[in-house]
Amino acid sequence: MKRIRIALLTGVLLASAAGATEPRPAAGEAARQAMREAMMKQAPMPMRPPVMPMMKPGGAAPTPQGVPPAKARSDAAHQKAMGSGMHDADAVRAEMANHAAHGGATGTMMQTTGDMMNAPMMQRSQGMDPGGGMMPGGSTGGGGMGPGGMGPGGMGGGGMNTPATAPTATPGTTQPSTGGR
Amino acid sequence: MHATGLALLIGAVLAASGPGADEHLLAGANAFREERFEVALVEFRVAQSLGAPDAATYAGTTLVKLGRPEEAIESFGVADGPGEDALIDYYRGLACYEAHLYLCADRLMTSVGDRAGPRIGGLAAKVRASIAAALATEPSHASIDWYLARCDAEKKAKRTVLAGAYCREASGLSKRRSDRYRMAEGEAGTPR
Repeated sequence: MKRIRIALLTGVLLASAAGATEPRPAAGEAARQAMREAMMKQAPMPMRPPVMPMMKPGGAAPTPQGVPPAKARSDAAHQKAMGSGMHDADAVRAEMANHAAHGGATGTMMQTTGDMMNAPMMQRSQGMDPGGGMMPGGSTGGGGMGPGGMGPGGMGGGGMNTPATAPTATPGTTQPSTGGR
Repeated sequence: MHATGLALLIGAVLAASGPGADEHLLAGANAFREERFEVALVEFRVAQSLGAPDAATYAGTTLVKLGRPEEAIESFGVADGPGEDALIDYYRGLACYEAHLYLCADRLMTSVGDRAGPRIGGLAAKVRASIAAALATEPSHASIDWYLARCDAEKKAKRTVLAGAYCREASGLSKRRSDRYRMAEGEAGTPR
């Protein structure tokens, strides 16, 4: 009986530490309200025109796009959950690293277009020839916006090109539809 | 010993439920509002693991903002069919669009209509217009092959929601062809 009492007390202490003994029912409702307003305000438009992806003849099955290192993320979240309310810098860093790895293709249009516009200018200002690397249709980590639009694989630098700009696409990669069969 | 374990478990459950989850949900919402999406995602994931019912959906919307549409589709849980909240449906539609699931996106954007207000309704209409242009021509065999291959790849990666969405898309595109190219394969992989 003494052990049970100690265990219950431990449980209550744990609950107390997590704030469960001081119910704040407004938090959930406030979260929903804040989220709704933010979602409404920040509702984005798609950045890329729709492009039907295509399997190249004889191509292998494509790998999943933007395959997440899901385990790392869930582990971080899990560790944070175990901390029950304590901010875990590792969890945030894991997300940041994942975001960086994926290139963060969308999110804010200004950011991407800014990158595309500024990079060559910055290179010129530093006496470098920007070359054609940043021309439309090229890949810039976040996916290139080509004349035919941005296609699958845009994240992580794999922008899909139109046939005119990417005639050497390898088997198994994707290309936009040109209405062919 | 069993009673001791049970008592500890009760304590742990108390510690890990209710308000704790809501506070993470609120922290996530605040981070989302401040456009700190990576932080918001972590908070929503924690809230989800603590049992907050809306957390997975909010994580999905955050993943859309982060440009990770496929993970977003998995997080939303159901790739197709309108839900109760038109604003969430708009974000789900965006996730489908960015993952090249244009038929899925079109269905969701249609369901949004003006339910989320004129502004979101206008955005949804624009998305639908661009999809209509892309779907104006008959889908090619190569496109259907691509969707079926993605379905298979996602099945192997154990992303079942996404796999189902790609198969459904393949099936829908097949129906737009007179020869119904590989339609049965798409149908077979479409969740009922």
